[in-house]
Amino acid sequence: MKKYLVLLMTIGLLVVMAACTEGTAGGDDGTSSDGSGSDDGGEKDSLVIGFESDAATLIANNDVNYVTDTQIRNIYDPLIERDAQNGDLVPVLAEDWENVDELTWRLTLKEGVKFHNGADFNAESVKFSIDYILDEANNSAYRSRWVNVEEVIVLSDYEVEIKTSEPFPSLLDRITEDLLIMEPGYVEEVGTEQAAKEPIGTGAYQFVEWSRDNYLQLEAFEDHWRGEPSIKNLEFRYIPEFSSRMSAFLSGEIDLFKNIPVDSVEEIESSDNAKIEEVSSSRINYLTLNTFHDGPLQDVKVRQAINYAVDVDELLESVLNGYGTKMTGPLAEINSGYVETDDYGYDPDKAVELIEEAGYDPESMTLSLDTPNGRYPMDSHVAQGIAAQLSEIGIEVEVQVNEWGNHLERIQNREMGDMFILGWGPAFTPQSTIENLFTENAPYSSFHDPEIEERIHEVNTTFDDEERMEGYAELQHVLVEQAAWVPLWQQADLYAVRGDLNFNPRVDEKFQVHEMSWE
Amino acid sequence: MASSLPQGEQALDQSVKPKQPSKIAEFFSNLSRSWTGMLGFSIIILLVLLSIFGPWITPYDPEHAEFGKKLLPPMTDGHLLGTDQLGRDIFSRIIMGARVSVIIGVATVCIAGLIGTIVGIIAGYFRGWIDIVLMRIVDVQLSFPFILLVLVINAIIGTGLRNIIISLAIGGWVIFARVIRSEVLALREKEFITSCIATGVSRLEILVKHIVPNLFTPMIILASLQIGTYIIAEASISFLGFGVQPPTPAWGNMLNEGKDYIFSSWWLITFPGIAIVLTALGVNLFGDWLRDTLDPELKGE
Amino acid sequence: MLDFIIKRFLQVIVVVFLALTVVFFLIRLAGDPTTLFLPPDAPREQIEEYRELLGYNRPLYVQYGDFVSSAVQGDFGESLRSQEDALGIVLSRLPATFQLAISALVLALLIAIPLGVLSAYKRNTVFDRIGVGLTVVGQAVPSFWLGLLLIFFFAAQLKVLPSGGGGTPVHMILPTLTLAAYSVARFTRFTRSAMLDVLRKDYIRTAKASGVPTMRLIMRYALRNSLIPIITLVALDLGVLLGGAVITEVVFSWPGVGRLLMQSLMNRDFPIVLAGVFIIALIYAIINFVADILYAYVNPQIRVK
Repeated sequence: MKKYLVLLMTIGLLVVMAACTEGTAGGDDGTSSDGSGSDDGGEKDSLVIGFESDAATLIANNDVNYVTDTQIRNIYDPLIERDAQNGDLVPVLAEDWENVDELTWRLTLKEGVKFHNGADFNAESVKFSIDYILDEANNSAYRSRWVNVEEVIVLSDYEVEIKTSEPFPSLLDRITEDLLIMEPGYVEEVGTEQAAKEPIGTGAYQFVEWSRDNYLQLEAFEDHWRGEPSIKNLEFRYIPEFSSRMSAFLSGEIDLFKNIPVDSVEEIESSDNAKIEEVSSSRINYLTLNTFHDGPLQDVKVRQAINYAVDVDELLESVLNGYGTKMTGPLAEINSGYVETDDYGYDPDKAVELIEEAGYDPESMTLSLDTPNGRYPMDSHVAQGIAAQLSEIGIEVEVQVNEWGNHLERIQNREMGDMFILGWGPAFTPQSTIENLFTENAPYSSFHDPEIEERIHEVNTTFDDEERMEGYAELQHVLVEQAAWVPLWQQADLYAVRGDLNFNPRVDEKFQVHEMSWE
Repeated sequence: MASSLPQGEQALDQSVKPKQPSKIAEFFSNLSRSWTGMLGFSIIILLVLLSIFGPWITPYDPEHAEFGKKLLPPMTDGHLLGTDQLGRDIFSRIIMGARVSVIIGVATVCIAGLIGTIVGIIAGYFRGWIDIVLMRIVDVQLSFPFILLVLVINAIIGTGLRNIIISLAIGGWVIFARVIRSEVLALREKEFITSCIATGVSRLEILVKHIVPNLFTPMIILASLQIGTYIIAEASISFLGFGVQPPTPAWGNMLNEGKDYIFSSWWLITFPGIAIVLTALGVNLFGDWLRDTLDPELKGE
Repeated sequence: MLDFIIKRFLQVIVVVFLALTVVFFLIRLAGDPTTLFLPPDAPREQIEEYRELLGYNRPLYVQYGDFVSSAVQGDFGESLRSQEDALGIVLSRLPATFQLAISALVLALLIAIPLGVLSAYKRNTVFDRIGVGLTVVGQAVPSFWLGLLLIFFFAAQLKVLPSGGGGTPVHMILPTLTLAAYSVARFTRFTRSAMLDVLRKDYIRTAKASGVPTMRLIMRYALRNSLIPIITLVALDLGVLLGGAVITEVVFSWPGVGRLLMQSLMNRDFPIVLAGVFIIALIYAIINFVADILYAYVNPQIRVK
């Protein structure tokens, strides 16, 4: 008898556990059958985007990560954005902007824009959104970039003035890359915690449901200022494993996803109703030559030699199957400050000569090379390709593949050895790239030269546009001469796209769904 | 156990010296009667040979990337099992991967076994509060899934061959401690020990001369059963992106690198997996056989 | 019996507490994660400020004291990534994990019990050999590889089943199979040995001799009496299932606790790691607790020990 009681208890426990899960299972079923209407025939008005990771939060202006930004840019609008193809600044919620003096900027805003809750967009919303970043209590990861902003003044309903504490020429970049406009009334009413779960913006899509680590569902906003978007239902579905994203795409479950390994391009192109779209991203990949580390790379001749010994063209061709745009200097062509610099080219003999001049023997030289795995296109493969090329001139390279968190930590703690692979982006402007990469404070290129650093600071605070650009041009030449790093390429962003989806990939890696439509 | 095994053999040697040849003969005649034991033993011998002579038998450099030859299917161009996404020979990488697996399995068993055995002896022999404390620690650790514990530790202390061995050893010693402790407890009750105590033989002498030599059989059995667990655990963790990192070939990270090619190149995920299964099978079969032979009491448990 | 339950229950608390302590110190010794959650161009002052805000600059024992006093109230801090309550995030992923684990458990039992019974009843016949062979091979196949193989055949080649993502029942098929497979091998072994024990008993022999039909003999007498040991053994084995669930979730992008834990380890989102460790240790300890009590109930001499 007792034994039956025990048995009953066990079964009871299992049933309770199962019952706890039943509810959510039902919920999932109901919603996902709504969302994936695109599977069926008839008029298509739904789009499912396969995405590698959940958003950290749905509140604007807080998390700096691209996965969050890409998703919430469909809910919120910026004041200014970049042209999808060339990266030029394009007005969105701001109609016009001007420099009043070195410390003052004035923006004119678009009228007649409504938030999802019916509230009007106006100068107060801009002030509120910038103040949100600046308020320490909000712990925004963007704050450090905005500390130069002293005050936002509302001049009229559709005019704001931004005062900075020192000349801040890159303010427009900050506005473009960071700032999204929130609805002050709503956030104040429900609090930031709630606003982070159920966002309200002026964007083309409004919030429907967010199931963490599972999906984010949005629907078209009828009163959107651009007009109602063509795709009515939008879902971001979170599938971290590439192989799972791929199979979801091939089976028609998702319509669009990013970051296709170059070796899978053929597979996608040869399947039904599928195409590949490619764009040269503003993100750059490079091989650093660490001058913080005590080793031969502190010698400019050895650094130059490595530049001669690495055959970037071959790497591009054989490892990346040609997907990428070769760089020769610190900036990519898409960068507004780009000037053409000399290409070292591939010259192994010259490399050997330089190393010997520097007093080393390439045959007995051992260098370490750290790389992340899967962070950038084929990164660990590129590292091993570089190792193979350097071994041609006798240098032994010890490749170490790091899990990403570890890689970044070691860079920031300056624990890296001779060389490592890293990417940087978006890199549209010379300031954000050069300052953040080649000064002592910034270990991301791990190249530092006191004279160059001084010049960088000088140029950054030059307010005259032309003069500043000249400064950047000169810096680019110097950095190439000094062989500050081995520039590799601009990443090619590869997208798997349903055949009948009108989709033009953007240089800023974003998915702006209001630009897309079904054929 | 690297340090304790030779000593163990000496100890065994002393007690059974005259019979030694027949012991080995007995081992093989026992083994030949069980085809599963034989199969397991053969796989283990093959594995050990591969890991010792690996560098001399691999047809290609397992870490050398040759982009012109990437993703070749098996049996092409002199590559028996094909090449991977970097044009490296998969056959060579699997052979060198055997070495990584054997090193990790053996090193972990040695470290975990040594720590666990010492703890088990202390707890079982001295009893009292030290036993309670040690066994409570063991209980605590056993109350967390092994693979998750190793994963969390490895993620925190960092990847690489050395760190995965440390993580596995931290996760693994408790089994040894628990089993050895109960063996010691059982031995203490045996007549020859109680009579030793009665005749005033010192505790240390009893421990060294009478208890420790009797622990070798359970230790060997446990070690042989655990080694498979460690090898699979390492493969799992390397597969998840921690553990052993490329370019060092390990079966787990080969599968991790290969999984992105599952749609186009089946051989990348097939052969390393087969290697893991065969290894685990061999070690388990041999371990089962060893247990059944050396300790018939445990049979069927 | 009550004494035993109370004692075991206190043990659960100690176990969970110590597990957290160990992980806490390991994490803090490994460094602090502040920089990973700021833009790469954040200046040092801001990093310092953040460190202070998150409390990573205080002495270790102070941090630990703080951690314990808030953990007792169920507060594991906020996720560094999303600034939400860490425990809440973990709990929200729990249903998905249960869903997967329970369906795999049920499937494994449905396969393993008949297989084990057959294997035991037809001892030393072809059936038994096949049954035993399957369990031996099954235990040598790591679940992540089995998962890959299933993806390869059903998603990549046949294109009939989705290989990942959460949601519909169809998405559950492959992960459930993967997770169940390993347990099938172990459960079959448990069933077989439990059945063998019972089949040796006198009353079974008597029943057999008096001509009770085979089916009835097995169902009514043998299986019923071996069910309790099977269930307790299965319960004690659920930790393995739980560990396997983590890997399965990662392979199939299943939105459960395991995937969350893996991502948080990758991101160094330590409050979530701690909350996840807490939940897993707690579940595991409770399962063990219940299984132990079951076991003690069945074998009273255990309690005396």
